[in-house]
Amino acid sequence: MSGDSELDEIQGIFFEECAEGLTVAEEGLSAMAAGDVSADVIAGVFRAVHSIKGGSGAFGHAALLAFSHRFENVLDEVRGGKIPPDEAVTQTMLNAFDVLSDHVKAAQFKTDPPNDAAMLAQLDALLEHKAGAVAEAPVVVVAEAPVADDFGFVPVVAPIEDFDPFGFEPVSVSLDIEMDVAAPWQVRFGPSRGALANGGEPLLVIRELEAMGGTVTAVDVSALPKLRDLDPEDSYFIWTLDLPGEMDEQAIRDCFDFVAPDSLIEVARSAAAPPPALVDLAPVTVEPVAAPAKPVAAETPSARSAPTPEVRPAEAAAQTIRVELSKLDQLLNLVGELVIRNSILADRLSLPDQERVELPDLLRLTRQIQDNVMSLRAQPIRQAFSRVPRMLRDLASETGKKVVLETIGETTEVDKGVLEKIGDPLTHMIRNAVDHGIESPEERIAAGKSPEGTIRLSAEQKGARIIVSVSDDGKGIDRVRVRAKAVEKGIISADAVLSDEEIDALICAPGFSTAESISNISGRGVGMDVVRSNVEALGGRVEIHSVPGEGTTFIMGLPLTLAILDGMIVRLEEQRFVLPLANVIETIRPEPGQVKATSPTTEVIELRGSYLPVKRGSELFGIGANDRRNPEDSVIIIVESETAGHVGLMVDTIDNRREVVIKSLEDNLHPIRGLGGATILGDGSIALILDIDALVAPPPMQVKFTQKGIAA
Amino acid sequence: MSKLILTVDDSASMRMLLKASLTAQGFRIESANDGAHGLERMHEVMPDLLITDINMPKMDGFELIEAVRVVPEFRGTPILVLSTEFSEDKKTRAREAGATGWITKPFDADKLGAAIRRVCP
Amino acid sequence: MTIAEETETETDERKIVTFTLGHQMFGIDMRALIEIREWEEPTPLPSVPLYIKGVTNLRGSVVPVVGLAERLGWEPSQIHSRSCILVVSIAGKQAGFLVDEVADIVVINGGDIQPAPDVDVNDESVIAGLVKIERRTKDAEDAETMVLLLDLDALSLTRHLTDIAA
Repeated sequence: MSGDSELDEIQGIFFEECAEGLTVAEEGLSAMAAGDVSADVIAGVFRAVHSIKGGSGAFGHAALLAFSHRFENVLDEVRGGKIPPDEAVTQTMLNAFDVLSDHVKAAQFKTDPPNDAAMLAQLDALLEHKAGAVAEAPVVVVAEAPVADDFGFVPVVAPIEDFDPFGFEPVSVSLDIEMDVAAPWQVRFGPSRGALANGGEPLLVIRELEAMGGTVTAVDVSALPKLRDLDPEDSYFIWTLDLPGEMDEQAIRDCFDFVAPDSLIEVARSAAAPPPALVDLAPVTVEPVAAPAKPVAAETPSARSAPTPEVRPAEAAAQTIRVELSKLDQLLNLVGELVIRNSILADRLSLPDQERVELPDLLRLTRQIQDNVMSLRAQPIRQAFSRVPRMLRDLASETGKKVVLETIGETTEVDKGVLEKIGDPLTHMIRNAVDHGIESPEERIAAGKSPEGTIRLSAEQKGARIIVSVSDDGKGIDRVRVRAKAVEKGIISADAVLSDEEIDALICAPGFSTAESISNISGRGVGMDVVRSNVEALGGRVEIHSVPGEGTTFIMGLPLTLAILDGMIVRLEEQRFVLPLANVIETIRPEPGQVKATSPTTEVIELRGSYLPVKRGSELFGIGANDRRNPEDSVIIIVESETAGHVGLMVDTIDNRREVVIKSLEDNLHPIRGLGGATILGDGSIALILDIDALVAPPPMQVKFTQKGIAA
Repeated sequence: MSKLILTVDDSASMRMLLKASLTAQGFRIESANDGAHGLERMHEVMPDLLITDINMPKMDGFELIEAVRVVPEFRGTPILVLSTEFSEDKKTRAREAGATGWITKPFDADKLGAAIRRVCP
Repeated sequence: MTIAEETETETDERKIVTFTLGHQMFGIDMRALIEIREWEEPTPLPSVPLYIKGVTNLRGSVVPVVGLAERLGWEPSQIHSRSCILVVSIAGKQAGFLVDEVADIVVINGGDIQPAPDVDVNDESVIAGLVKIERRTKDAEDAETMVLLLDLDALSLTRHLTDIAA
């Protein structure tokens, strides 16, 4: 019952590891494609594929196992220098990587594995053409020539390391002498010195054989030296055991799995008449080879020379531990609490006490802990970008368009929560750029452009936001067609007067799609409206810039972290709100007459000769809905928004400015438009964080908030 | 007292899988995520058996086995290699380093249990 | 699976917390209860359904407070001295339910739970069933009372995401 869920959980982790491995492999292969074929890079790719193979076997993903195994073989040869990592080979491996990704996906989502026959054939071709063929399965090497014994039959001596009952069965050497099936087995076992050295205990083998019904019939002690020459770490005995004839030979051999290979092991059917007495009478002559001659492994362990690994796996994977995100969140919550307690403590102390060194120290330390905890959640955006090259290759082959990818700022770090959510929007933006932006090579040549289109993927941090953009050098948005389509779809009226930007923004309108034919790519039923709503749910914005004939840029502005914010605490009707400082330009205490009504519901503020719209915070939030408070008794905060430029926001008073820990409303509820979250103030009460962009956004995006009744 | 096994593997899923299947067979399991960590853990937990992967960052399985074998207390501790590798030179190298036995991944839980009992009853 | 759960499956006994909303007695599974707190005015939120009274600070987490009576379609609860908030965990998310009074913790037998007749409740999906319990009261005539067992998953606040956030 719990076993299944436990296995599911482990599987889940395995697929996480696969994703990480694929990222590492793709980075390595891309580096190889770009000319870096250093041993470290190749070993990194090998290791990644190797790990995927290891887990796939353990979890029973046969198709994935088979493919990764073959891929690994090729990589192993590349690593060993037997296959040169030239351009063609690297390309084959990139293709194999794509198939491997598909295999992982198929295993993960329990869909049909991809058709990999062609790819396997290519990999095999590489293996065949390399210098010196490689044997894929272990080959049995009979170490010692079989020696006929006293009973006239040939014992089979097989080095133990070939026995590998867990995976690759060695080729078994069968006895060519016809034998009475029921004849009992006779086993001779003479452990080597090495059998004792590596934590081996030959006695256990004897015990195991006894447990299987075996009987020790003789012990040859002729090799035993005089006591003063006896090495307690050496082995001198040869046991002879009889086992019931109906036993399976392999079962007997399995007992010797872990016995050092230079030991004497003989398993054979004894002569027709079960002859315990016979063996007793005739001590077996022992060939010197079976006696513990000094094998290489017989040196003391400390003196053993350490073989140097010829290729060291790339240490691409930094040492990490896996921590549940919820634990980090909890830690962040606790640190947030600590910050709050700190400020309460500071408030309670007299001013001189506040300035004593301990308190600032405590604050500084707390802040450092906070920064550290936050950085734990930060991840390079590379993780989201790494999906793109593969996607572009697919898109290129589907559309016949040629696309070059440029990435900028992939080391930019973003909060894990943000990172996880931008993958899908990013995918759609790239698809959109290839499908609608980049022209076919012929069209591009006709337009005087290079036949290859370029998509530039960039990320940069701007203040408290991370800006991710996807630009293409394609044909730009066809505004005439977009407009016509929007009219046709009833999104706008036929006589609507729209600016270029407004027409471009229609792409993100729900239900809009300009694709003339439903292509493979855009036919998936999700459009840019999904991108917009996903990004907005994250507290982000989507912007579009397009120049006809030159290309289009989609810009996502996202919060850098979902955790902390520099804010201004303002009051509206005794309720406190946090205004992100990043939005604040200046604060103004209006002079009489500086705020003028332009209609019963709209006002403007005159500021250095220009007029800015004024929004009453109390109205935006429906607090004291009929409040016509005197502007002179209020404070106007000029805020800058991405959507509406500069706007004056009228609040009652400003409390102070401070950093606040953002608590997501989604944790226990859901996102609310106009709010960026909530925070807990020093007195333990909650203040809502305003999302200025959403609040002051011009229609139709603006939503007027109404405060619902509060139970008395 | 059931046998205490230290498993060393850089893959969390493999560690968990080992732990789940071996705990079910009555073994006590401790784990480490690479060779260096494994060596540290050896001294902490003093296991009855060490099971290690070969390909690992920091310190690979061969290096770990060698490092373990130099310590007098661990000279008699059985060490099993659990790896997807199966080439003869790797096995020989493991043997030379001081491994007791080699098991090729993927493993079958029952067979693994049997193999463990074979070296560590 | 926890030991507690297994034990309960065997005997099919479960603990429920009972509370009143108006004259009705309701019950929720004890395992979902995180804590019971005194009523404290939450911070109101814009653009949410009426039954979401706002958010409150629960040990550093921002937790929505739900007027359970309104959520179930009854008259809104009037705040009084015994009003309290049942903090529960629903599918990993926390929520506070405003209730009139917490009554008791009782052990019921799973077999005694009767399915809720559709006609009796206006929102059948939130009532998991009905069960009769003995009341700890001196009044012998009122010894038994009916408890409406709530299906907490059906009360999840995120279920209405599309209605609310649109």
